[in-house]
Amino acid sequence: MRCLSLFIICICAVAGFAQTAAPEPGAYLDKRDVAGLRAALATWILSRESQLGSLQEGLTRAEQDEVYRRALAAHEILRTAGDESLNTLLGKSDGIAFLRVFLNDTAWMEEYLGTGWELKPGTSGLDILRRLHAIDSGTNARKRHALMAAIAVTYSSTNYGENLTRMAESPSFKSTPETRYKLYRDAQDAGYLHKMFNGMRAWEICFVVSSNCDDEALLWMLQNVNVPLQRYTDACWAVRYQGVNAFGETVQGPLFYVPGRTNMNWAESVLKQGGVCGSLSTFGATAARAHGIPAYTCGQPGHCAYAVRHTRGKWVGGFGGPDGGTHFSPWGGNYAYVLALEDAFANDTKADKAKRHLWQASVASPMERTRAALSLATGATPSLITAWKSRIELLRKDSSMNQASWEKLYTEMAQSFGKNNKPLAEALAGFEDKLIEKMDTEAKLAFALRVQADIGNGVENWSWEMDDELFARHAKWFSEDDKMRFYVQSLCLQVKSRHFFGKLADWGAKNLGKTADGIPRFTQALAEVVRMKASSLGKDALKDLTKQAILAAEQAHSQDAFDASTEAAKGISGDHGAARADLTSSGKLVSDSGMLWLSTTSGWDQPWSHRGIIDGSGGTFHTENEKAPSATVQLRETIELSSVVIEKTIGNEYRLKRAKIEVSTDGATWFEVAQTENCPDVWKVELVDKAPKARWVRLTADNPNGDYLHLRSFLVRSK
Amino acid sequence: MRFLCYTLLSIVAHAQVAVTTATDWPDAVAKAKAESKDIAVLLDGSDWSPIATSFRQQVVGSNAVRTATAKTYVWVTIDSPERETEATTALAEKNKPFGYRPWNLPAVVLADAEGRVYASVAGSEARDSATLLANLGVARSAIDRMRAKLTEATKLEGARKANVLGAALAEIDSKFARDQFKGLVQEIAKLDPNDTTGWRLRYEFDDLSFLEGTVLKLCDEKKVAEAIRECDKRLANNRITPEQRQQILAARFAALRRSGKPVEALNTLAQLQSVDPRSELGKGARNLGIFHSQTVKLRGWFWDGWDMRPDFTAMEIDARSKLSSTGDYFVEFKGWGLEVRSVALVVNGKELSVSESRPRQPLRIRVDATPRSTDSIILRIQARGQGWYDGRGTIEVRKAE
Repeated sequence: MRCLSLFIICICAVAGFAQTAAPEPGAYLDKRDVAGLRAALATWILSRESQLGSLQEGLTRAEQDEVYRRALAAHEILRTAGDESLNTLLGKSDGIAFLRVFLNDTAWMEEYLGTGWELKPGTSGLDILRRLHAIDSGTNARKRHALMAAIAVTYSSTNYGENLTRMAESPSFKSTPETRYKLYRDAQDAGYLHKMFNGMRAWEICFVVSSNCDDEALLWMLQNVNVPLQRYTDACWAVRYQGVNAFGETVQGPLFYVPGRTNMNWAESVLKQGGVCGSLSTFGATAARAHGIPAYTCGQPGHCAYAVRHTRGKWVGGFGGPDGGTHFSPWGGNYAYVLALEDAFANDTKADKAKRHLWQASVASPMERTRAALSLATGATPSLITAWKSRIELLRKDSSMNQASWEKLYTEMAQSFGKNNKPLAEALAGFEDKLIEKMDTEAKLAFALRVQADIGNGVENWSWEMDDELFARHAKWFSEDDKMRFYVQSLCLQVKSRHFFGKLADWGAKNLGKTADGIPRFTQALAEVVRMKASSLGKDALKDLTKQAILAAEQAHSQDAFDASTEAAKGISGDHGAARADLTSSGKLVSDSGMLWLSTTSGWDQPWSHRGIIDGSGGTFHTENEKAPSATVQLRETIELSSVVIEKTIGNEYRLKRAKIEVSTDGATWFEVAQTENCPDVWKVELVDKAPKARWVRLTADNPNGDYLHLRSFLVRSK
Repeated sequence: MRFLCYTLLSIVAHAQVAVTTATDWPDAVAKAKAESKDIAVLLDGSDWSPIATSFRQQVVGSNAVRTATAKTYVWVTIDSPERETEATTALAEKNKPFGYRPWNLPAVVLADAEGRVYASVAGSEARDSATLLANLGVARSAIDRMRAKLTEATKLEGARKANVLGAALAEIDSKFARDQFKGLVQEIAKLDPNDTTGWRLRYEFDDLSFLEGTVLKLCDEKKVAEAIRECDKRLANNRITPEQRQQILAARFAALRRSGKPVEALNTLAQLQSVDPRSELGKGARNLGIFHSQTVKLRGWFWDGWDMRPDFTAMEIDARSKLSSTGDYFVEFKGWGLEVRSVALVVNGKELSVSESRPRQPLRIRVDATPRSTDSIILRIQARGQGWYDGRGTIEVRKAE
């Protein structure tokens, strides 16, 4: 009897783990019953999970099951494609045959689903895959699946893909998904692509195939720009920087490229006709992409830059990148999202696991299961923004969530996002109202400061207006008085991060307004920070704090914060003696209303006197030992430059010998206006005849063996 | 017997051809001076470019190339590896004085014993030894001619010497002539300060600086006539290259466009094209000429940036399929970026019905007689582009009810 019982128990146990076969797509496809297939897959998926354990255990064990993975991926494909586009696909002569293959190929489906781009119903991704599959199918085509998936996702993505598709309608733009696929396939076979391309997943290849230049331009690049990886960030300089073409048409107008239109592809046209930052950066990025190297262009204020990827997680900037508003990125148009994507997908195994848990959550089921799946997804890999957004959205509907659980969620999220502070701040916006709902002022203050601390530990991403997007949002929680407390304590927290201190300083200078007596509140706040830190820092450190405020303002390029900080430091700026010679020159002094920043600072620097360097009263700055130390004056507006006067500090004059002065109107592109092999103690540069336009004026020393740069005056005068 | 000995000697001689190689650029310069040879630099991409590897091994490293160049060149390889080590960094530092870095590797670059580059051949242009040798041969002939003239110049003085020096530099690629042989250019300037020979302009001309700094600046100051005179002065110099001539004519065109002289501007474009119709500037001039003067033939019942013009220009399309019966028709433009002034029905070259664009009134044309099969029926649209010329749209024609 005992044996029989044991036998029965064994049978039951085995039966529990023995799975029924997953629904076979073929039968449903033949009947064109996509809804039926999706429903059958969903039922089977849930049943399989429950066979393997309850809730979390079931989800975890199922994720490791090969048959389950295929069913899950197939379900997600059907869900994201939508019935309408699937039925259209099934109506094509090879639609069924294609789907039979595709829905049985787990790896291929996962590549297509896992790029990070949101797949929306009604888009053309699957149809593009079908067309590419028609070009190459069979076992040899397996190595192309990541490339096919990347092209399908890129060309069907919202905005970017729509743009590429629209451009392809023009007879002048020679590129379709098919031709782009063949270009990269053939280039890879011929050994023209960089070796990094060979191991890339679809999410990485998306950054390659997404060039908005046509195939002719890419091919031309393959044949005419061939340099080691590290030179692609300079490849933009193969193009001459010029704002007008040979026929006098400005690059800011529509006729610049007309002369070269029919003769040359875009890349060759740009190389021969020149351009400005947009063309140069696109040229550089395209050169990299043509060779199978991921790249993107990005927008910065008044400028276009780019970035090239050297390895996973390492993006190197070209022409001022990699920071900025990225023109191609699945999670958001900012460099911060590219970094988050890299972190989320850095480890293939963890990332794939996380994605599968995310797809599990998409299978319609009770909230408890969905919640568990999303929790597993966010826990499997860091910074998976899409999973976090879904999880937050779900939890908002969960009436069992309370303040403590929201706080716990924030803690978990902060740990997951780590240094990816911008996505963290944005995800927090999805539930902070719930979190602070029942908090009193002190609790809100504590939480807001906690967030500031977390942000301060993260990436210093200058293109993220942290102050406006996060600080201002939280500042609204408080009354005016409490806002000042929040501001002052945030400044104290960010003291160690010159970047965020500068951002806050900038925000404070612009937004805190003035007291009834007309004193800028920012100056008051700064004074309060000094006072608060005084007891813990001591006298010299107080000076250092003011120095910190000025350097932070300079790093943030914040005129307002610079004005306020240097004003606050007036009493300690010191006397720098009389000028060593007459410093007058042609024009009207304009640097006095501007600001200054340096390539580096050092222990000998005196930021309290930086104002004096540019207003004629004299001061001193001191860089570190560098090969090319520089000082830049930013003016309030673009002027016609009349003259520049450089006055050395007394002592160690030999340090500044070979130097040049450059000007810029956009802060990124510089033109030399003067050069000296042996800088005199007072170097007056008269430019009234040429009167070049300038908003920024930069002095750079040339020290092949390295040296310091220090000046008493750097005066800029306009015509 | 004698023939056999010669053959054997020849074989032995070839087998023993020793190619002088250098370890780095300074070494190459030293050896080139010592052996009275030129320098052949192989710019390599040893660890990232399979094409560079193939070029190095099968073309540059071929017996044919080694044999043919042994007496003329000292060979040195300057590699640009991706994987940087202490050794490669130190070597790169040593090679820094070799400043010429093309964007297409691999390449073979030729320089004289002073280190001045005078020719460059991309690996993509010379995929076999015969082609490489042919390219090197052309470069070699050019530098030999240059040297012969330089020798001749040593016996002369003043402007006569400047003239021969200028002619010498003209033997090699102009981009190397002005960038690499700066000393010679300066000597010409010293010998002929007033540029009586015309060579100074050739080697000192900067097209962008002339266009922006001289011509457009004068135009901005409303001195268009002076701008045109500056162009004409330079055009009178017969030493300038065809490309420079085209650049100056392009600047002249820019000035004429700004002076509101469209006919003269188009004539200048025609002159520019005739200098060298196959050059990029020549083709550009042709494109611009068509762009500014010719009727736009629409490719279908739509428009995009290709069809737009800065001034009101006629755009035409065969309208037989749409205007096939008598009656009134509405013509609608659905899209953006196009400013339409009027539409007209043109039958056999004659405008029969014209509709001018008015606010809140549709464009309307009338077909009075049923078109015959031999009639040419054209819809002519007077329009100009707006903004960035990236607009697009469709043209709809429907019968007015």
